[in-house]
Amino acid sequence: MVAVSSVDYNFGDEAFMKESTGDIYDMQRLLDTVERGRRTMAVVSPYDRATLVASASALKDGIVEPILIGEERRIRESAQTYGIETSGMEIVDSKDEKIIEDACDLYNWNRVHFIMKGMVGTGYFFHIVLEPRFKIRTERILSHVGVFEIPQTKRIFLMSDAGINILPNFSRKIHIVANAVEAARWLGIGLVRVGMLAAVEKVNLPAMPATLDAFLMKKYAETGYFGACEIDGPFAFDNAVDPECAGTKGIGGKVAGQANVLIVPNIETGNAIWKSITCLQKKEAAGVVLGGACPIVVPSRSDDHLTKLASIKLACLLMG
Amino acid sequence: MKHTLSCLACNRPGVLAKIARAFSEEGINIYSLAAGETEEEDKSRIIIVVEADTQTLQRAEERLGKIRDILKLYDLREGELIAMEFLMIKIRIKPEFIPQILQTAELFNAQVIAVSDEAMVLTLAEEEKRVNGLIKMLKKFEILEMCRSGKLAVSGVD
Repeated sequence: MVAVSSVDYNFGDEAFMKESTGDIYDMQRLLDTVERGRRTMAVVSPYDRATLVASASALKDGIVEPILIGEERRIRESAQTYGIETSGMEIVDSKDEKIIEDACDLYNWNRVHFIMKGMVGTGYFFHIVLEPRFKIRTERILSHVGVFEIPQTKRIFLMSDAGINILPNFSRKIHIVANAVEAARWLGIGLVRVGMLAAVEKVNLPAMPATLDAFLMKKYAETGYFGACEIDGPFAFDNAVDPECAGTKGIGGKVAGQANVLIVPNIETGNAIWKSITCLQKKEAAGVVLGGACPIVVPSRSDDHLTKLASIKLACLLMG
Repeated sequence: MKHTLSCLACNRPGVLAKIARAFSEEGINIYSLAAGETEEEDKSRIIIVVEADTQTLQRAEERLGKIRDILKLYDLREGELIAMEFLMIKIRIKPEFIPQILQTAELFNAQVIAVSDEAMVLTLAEEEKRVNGLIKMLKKFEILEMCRSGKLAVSGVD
């Protein structure tokens, strides 16, 4: 059980909100705001084409210097097979679980700013990354924040949590909301409008416990814990993102139809939305895990290089 | 000492009053009482929890034995019974206490069955000790209304 009050988040302040223009309309433009700089990233087990291409592209764009960690012979063979230039990237020869440990050690020694996962299972990856001897773990709860664009809605969305928390309880959801709101503010979204997703707009107990959490999250936001943002729910997906749908159903409020942060009730819902956007719509998307001392890029092993590169850029943006 | 009595009685008007009188005449206070139909519609099972010394309880049992509508009477001993109590409790919602209320409910496996802007209703079916524990924890918040079923019990299955 994590005591909510013991965790500090930086949600920005009113002045920050006024400076900002509101929604962000263009995913590509957002990602292109990443400035060139001397950032370094540890890439764990980069044996697949997408991870190698994304790392090389990030280096070429001058946004991050990747340090590739894994079996050197295998990394070089893969790079050769896929025709990827690795000459500008440092390679740390390592094996088995030592690969992840080496990446975390680099973070401990301030050699890298963040870590990216390559061809290794997510559960196994986090099992090692979150060991107390590494400085990545904090008192916060880790959650995945995905960013994607739905052109019809003319804005980008942040969605959480489609990747880490399986069936979060209310306390965990507070941290999931907090991580997502903080990320939205860092990305420059001025009016953060959080829609708590469920299947219906009214509390339905005991059949739909997600509706209760959504309703109570709105109440909890009255304490000001999340800073200046609007939180409302429960919402079905369409009523959260589409003003016309919300209007048709007579759902009012500042979030209905205009949400830019979507909080899903469980990982199944999040995964289904995320994959339907990235897999079926072929839309560019980016995702990172927040709540640690640094953003952690944890793409799906099947993600293409564009998604992986977008996720690297997102991590850079969220580093500040 | 607390005793849990299981009384099988005819499902007829006035039976409960006769039982209450038997305890009252011996000066025994009824701690809780739960009555309901049994597997046979014409019979009721009444679970009575009383606090009394053995002799006084014996006298009350003799009085109960004389009531024709009472078919069976058992003094269920701890360890020989499976007991549970049902609780409904309405708490005022103050936004800052929502996480603690829900964490407490989760800890005790209590269910939220209704909610409004002002209040939420929790239920719990558990052993008396855990019901007491939940109430104690929720006292930190504002309890608006509370209702306990009293102990429900059946004899053990062994």
